[in-house]
Amino acid sequence: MLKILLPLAGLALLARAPSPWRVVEPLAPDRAVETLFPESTLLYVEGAGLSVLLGEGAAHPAVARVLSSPIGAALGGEAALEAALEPVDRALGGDALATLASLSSRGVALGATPRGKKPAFALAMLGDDPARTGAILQAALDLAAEKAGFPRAFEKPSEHTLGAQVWYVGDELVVARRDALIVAGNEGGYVRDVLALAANADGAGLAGTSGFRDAHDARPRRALLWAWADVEGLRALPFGNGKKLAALAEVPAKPEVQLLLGTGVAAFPTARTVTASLELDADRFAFSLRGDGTDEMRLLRERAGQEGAPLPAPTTDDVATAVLHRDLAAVFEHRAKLFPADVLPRLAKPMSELAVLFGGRDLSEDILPHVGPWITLVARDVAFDEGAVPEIRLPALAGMFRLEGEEVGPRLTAAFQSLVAISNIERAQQAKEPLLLSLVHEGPVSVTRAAFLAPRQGEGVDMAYNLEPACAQVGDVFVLGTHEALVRGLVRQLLDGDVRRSPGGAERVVLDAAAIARGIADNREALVMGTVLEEGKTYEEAEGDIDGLHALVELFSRGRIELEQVEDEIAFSVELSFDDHDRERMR
Amino acid sequence: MRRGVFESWRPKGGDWDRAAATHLFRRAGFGPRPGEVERALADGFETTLERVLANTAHDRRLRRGAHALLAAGDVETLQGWWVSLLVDDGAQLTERMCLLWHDHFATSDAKVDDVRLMHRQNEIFRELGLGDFRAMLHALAKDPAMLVWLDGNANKTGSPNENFAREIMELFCLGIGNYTERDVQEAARAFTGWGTAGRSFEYHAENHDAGGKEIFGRRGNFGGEDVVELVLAHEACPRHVAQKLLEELVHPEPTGEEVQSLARFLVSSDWEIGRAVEHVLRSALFFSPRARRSRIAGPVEISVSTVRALGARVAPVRVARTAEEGGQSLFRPPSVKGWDGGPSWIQASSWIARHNALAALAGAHGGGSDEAEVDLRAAFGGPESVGEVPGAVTEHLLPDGVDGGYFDVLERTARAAGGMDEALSLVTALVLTSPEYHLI
Repeated sequence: MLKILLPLAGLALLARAPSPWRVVEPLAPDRAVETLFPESTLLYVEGAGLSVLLGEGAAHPAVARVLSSPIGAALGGEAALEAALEPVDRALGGDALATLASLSSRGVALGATPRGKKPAFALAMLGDDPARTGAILQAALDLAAEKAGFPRAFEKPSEHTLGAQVWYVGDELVVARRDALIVAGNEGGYVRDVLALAANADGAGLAGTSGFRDAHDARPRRALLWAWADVEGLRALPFGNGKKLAALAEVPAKPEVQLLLGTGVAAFPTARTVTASLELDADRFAFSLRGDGTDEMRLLRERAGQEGAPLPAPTTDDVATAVLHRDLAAVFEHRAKLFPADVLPRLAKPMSELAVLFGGRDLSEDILPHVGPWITLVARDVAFDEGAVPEIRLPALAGMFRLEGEEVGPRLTAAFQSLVAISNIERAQQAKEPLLLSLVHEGPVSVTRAAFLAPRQGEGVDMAYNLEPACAQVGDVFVLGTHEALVRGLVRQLLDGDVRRSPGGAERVVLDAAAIARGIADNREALVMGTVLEEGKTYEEAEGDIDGLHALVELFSRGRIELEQVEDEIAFSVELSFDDHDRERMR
Repeated sequence: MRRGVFESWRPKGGDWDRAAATHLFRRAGFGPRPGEVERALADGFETTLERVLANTAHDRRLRRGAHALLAAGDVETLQGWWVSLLVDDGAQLTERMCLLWHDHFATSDAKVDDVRLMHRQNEIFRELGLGDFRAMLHALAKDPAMLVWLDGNANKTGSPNENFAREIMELFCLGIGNYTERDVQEAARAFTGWGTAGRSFEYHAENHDAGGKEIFGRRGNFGGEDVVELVLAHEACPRHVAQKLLEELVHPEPTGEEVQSLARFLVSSDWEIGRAVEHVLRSALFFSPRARRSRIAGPVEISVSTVRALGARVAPVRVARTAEEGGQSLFRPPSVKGWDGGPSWIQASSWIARHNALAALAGAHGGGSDEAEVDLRAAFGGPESVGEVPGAVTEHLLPDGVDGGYFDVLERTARAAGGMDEALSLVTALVLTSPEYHLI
């Protein structure tokens, strides 16, 4: 009896196992590309909008705008694009972009996962016409075989598995087709995992995990590209960039990072998962990055809810405006908890040196707690005195912040004067002319300023003449800047009520592309020569680089960078606007 | 002038070979670029020399480019700018003389602390370095960088500062033993009132000592210009200048007869440095075995000539930094005496810096570096097999020939390499770091 039952049981078990000969159902028409990647995937990039972009080609509004711009014209415009695609069109026997669009009409995505000590990649392209997909893939394989000198080498697949045809193209490329799905990867195992999910009508793979699903559901609908990374998983990898990512997660414990970049940027590398998206449409380009499960740095954000910094109304001379959260008082108050013991002496030294400027007062107790945690930075083109226009001209920069209490303003002004006096001692030792301190008035407000004497005629105006530092206090707002003209302009705006409180919560940088382009054009020769000397390029190449940068900046009218931190979530976004009509919205 | 010392060289047969052409390019510039020696051999000695002498046109954009950057006040940028001219093909001989005079009239930004003034002095060397020595000396005496460097502003009647007066005699024009302390003191009085106002020369009459002076046995109510003329008229002056030219162009230890002969030529040619240089470059002495590979190349020479020889693309500021690590910081000579040169270039730390920089440059072949781009195969005439690599590399970098045992080492290295690219990198690194390569 056993002799009969055992073989029967064996047959029954075999019947339950996936069989290469089993007839496999075609992919469901609503099958989403993200369900084809296994749970082990640590990095996922989806080209949701790529099919539309490829389908429209040069007619896509953003592409058309770029092609008709000076930078597009310099690159040869639409004709150059067509010429570049012509060999591909010929090889594929039709419009290459339209072909790619049809291959990915239902989605295209790239996944990566570690295999041994190497990363494995798989690209999945899901179309809607199996016959056309098969014909295009065969044409591409035939072309590759011919180019490699082995015509017809890929006429037949290397194997059939999981209902798919599989070709091994050299050692580093595996290509498979099942229905209207093409999968290409650098490692057979990962490609088979994708095919196995495709063969399973109920398979959800990565899309079945809650962390990924929530992030995917929240992605911008118009995204051209959307990416998700399991940073925690990547950090744990004992090879490649895993160690670098792990080291990066230690960044928040560096005081200089907290002071310069702020808590938000500093906390980004600690995120468990990161998503990124890229949007491109007729009037803007947007990139956003979101980190979840980051180190909250709660200690440093206790005053983040306070009223924001004063935000002056925009002027035509603005180059950039930034609203930043830098709670220096909190950094120093909690330094023992935030930073390793070995870095604390590095903080003590500058604190004691700065105390000299404040008559020996303890900066962390007597000054910083009275300075608001939000600061507004304004970069603005200013008019220089005739005869003292620097040959390399920079925009002036000023910071504005709120003060709490009446004593701190005069102390800051006295510190400014002390700093100028100390720098003059050093300059005198080097036989250099001093910065002359003086007091000027903007309406009822006294502005303390320091300036060099005008240079002698014909002897050149150094970059140092960009510096004409000044400070002033208007009500509870302190203004400190690199140039008197800017400080006086901001004082005037404060007096005229031409200043509003910035909304708290998010850090924001607004850039005026036209002003930056103007700066590049004004200093073109210095930038070209700097590129020659610093990068070893020929003069012509350097000219091409700088002119290209100028044309690229000119393509946009305005840029906005925003960083918002809510508990353990951080959202960072960059938005570049082609048009100037939404100037106010971008602020 | 005795005939024979600078007898013209008339190459016969194979005299005008790779070694001779390379020697000319190294001494009259900063070495050949890939293909330059082949062209010289095809053109012949006379045509090549004419081209070397006539080649004084810089890339105007590079030369003018300094002005755009001077406002930044950064000496590293100025160093990089000069290196870009040293590497450029435009005016190799002019730049060779520029470096010579920068060492001779050594002035340092460490004290001057003004890149505009350092640049202006550098342009004096460029404009006049192959011209009338007298005009250059007068220009330098009133050069604001020189006045700051040697304390012209502190030279006032009643308390003369002797720095410039001493150096124009001791280091610049005459040499020790050709003047007295009294001459220095009196000359210092003559220069009183020469100073600067802002970045310009200014004569402060109220600070000038208008009394009578006695210099080199001559009495008169001398001013600064008079002292310069007296120094130029001194019999030691042409010898001192000739000595410097010969040390740089021919041999680090020229004979007294050679110096005297060139000194006479200098005076007879009305102090035209260019003519004296041509006189030397045309001579059999210049191409003699005693002259060839007789000098230890300085860090700037070795860095710039290697970049040129390999056809490498390296950021000029990076080249300047490499030279600095090797002990020669442009615009920052260690003292008014300039760099000691010769064996002093090869100190333990500076040799390691040199070695590492050159090995790194060789290693950049095939995309091995972010800091340099090098195609050694193209530089060495396209060797087609690993076996051809040692011959191709030594032919270009050591054209005077190498010891058989050393060549065996290069051949073994090439054979052991994992392919053409590695063979090129390793063999080139060995040659660049060999003692022979550092003799020019």
